[in-house]
Amino acid sequence: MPSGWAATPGFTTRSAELRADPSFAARVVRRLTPGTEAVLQAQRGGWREVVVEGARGWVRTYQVRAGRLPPDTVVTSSEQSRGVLADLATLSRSASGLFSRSRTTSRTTATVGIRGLSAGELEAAQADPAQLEKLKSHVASRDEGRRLAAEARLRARSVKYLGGGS
Amino acid sequence: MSTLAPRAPVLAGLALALFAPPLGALDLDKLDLGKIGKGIEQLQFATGKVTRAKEIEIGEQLSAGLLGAAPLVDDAALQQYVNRVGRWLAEQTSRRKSKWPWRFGVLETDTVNAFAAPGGHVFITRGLFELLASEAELAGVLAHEIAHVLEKHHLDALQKSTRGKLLEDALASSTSRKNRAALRKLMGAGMQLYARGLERDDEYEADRVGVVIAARAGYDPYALLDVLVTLDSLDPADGNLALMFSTHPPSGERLARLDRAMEGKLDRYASQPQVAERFLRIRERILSD
Repeated sequence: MPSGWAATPGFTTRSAELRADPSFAARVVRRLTPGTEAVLQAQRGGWREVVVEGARGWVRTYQVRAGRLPPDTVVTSSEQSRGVLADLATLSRSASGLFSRSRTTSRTTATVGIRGLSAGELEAAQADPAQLEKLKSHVASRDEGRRLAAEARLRARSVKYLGGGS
Repeated sequence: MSTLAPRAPVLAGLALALFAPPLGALDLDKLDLGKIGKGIEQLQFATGKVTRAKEIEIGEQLSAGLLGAAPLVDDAALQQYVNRVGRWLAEQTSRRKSKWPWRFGVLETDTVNAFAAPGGHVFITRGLFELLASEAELAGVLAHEIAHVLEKHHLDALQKSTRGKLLEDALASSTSRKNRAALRKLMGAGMQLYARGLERDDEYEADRVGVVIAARAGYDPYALLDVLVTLDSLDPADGNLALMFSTHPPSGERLARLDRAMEGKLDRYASQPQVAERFLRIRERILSD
């Protein structure tokens, strides 16, 4: 879908290389730091066209988010800025209506009395056969899976596994 | 496949033992039949001939352990929904594997994580489920865990960590009492494995396999990258994230590698559905509890 995208305000959620074309082989126009404001434009596969301070180019879709940069947010370019970026990502998602409530604030108060799953708790775990039976009772049939897919118009595709190496 | 590498010595050793010396040259007194028998069991395991029933039995034991640490969320509709999504994903793997009794469960804990156990067992914690924004993201997580099952990452890791001993016992024991004891011991090793984590390369491999399974099922495969972005944006000091962060490569590194592996190959599936509405309705159920 090369065209027909409305320009949307957004910003980078991580450092990114702005490329002249939607390809890793394309020239790097500019290096962007996390939290850089950008106007999001066309999407092509895993690439998103953006305009940053007058420069036009392409970044990977996961490197940008739609929404406004929260005011007076201090963003540094280092990877240690994780905490700041945490707020960015959360805010951008809640702004787009994906988060119905802030996780980080409500969770900490709601955790009291609920078991965690730390390394120590895993190592101390005792088998729970009754829970295993419950797990088995919820199993879905192939038809139930297919029906769920059909309801959402999901269509099975033939896709090759990606080659090894990384 | 990379998972074959550690098995090669076993195979080579057995091939030597069986074929290399001409029979006449063998000192029969020194021929250790027990050792050869063990070698054959190992070979069965090494060539993936752990029977399906055995693999499921081992997986059930590990699952019972996980469920002992955190029970299922008490919400049948939620569990059935996750099982249907998972079943649809599993159907995209292979004709044989899609016939396994794939079982999926949402664990009642705020901890953010997901687990797999041999034979087709996959778990996601409520903590992680609540962080997701669409069914495609859920599919990405489940498909990553399905990939661990397909590639037998946990069986391989248990084989290595127990030098094959516990697995052999669990596989070989004929009497059910002995078998139960062996499985119990194996569960202990399995729980340690969950606490310690798999090899990093196993995680990268599961990412690469997982996005393909999600794309085959008709979802936007890039949703798994969205999950990794979310995870990467969370405060690592949060105790609910400690185990996942200590047992997985950094999310940023996973993102970069996965994105490079997908570029040009899965880009064309990026416009497949996210299926957010149905997912968010289900998510509301547990959030409002």
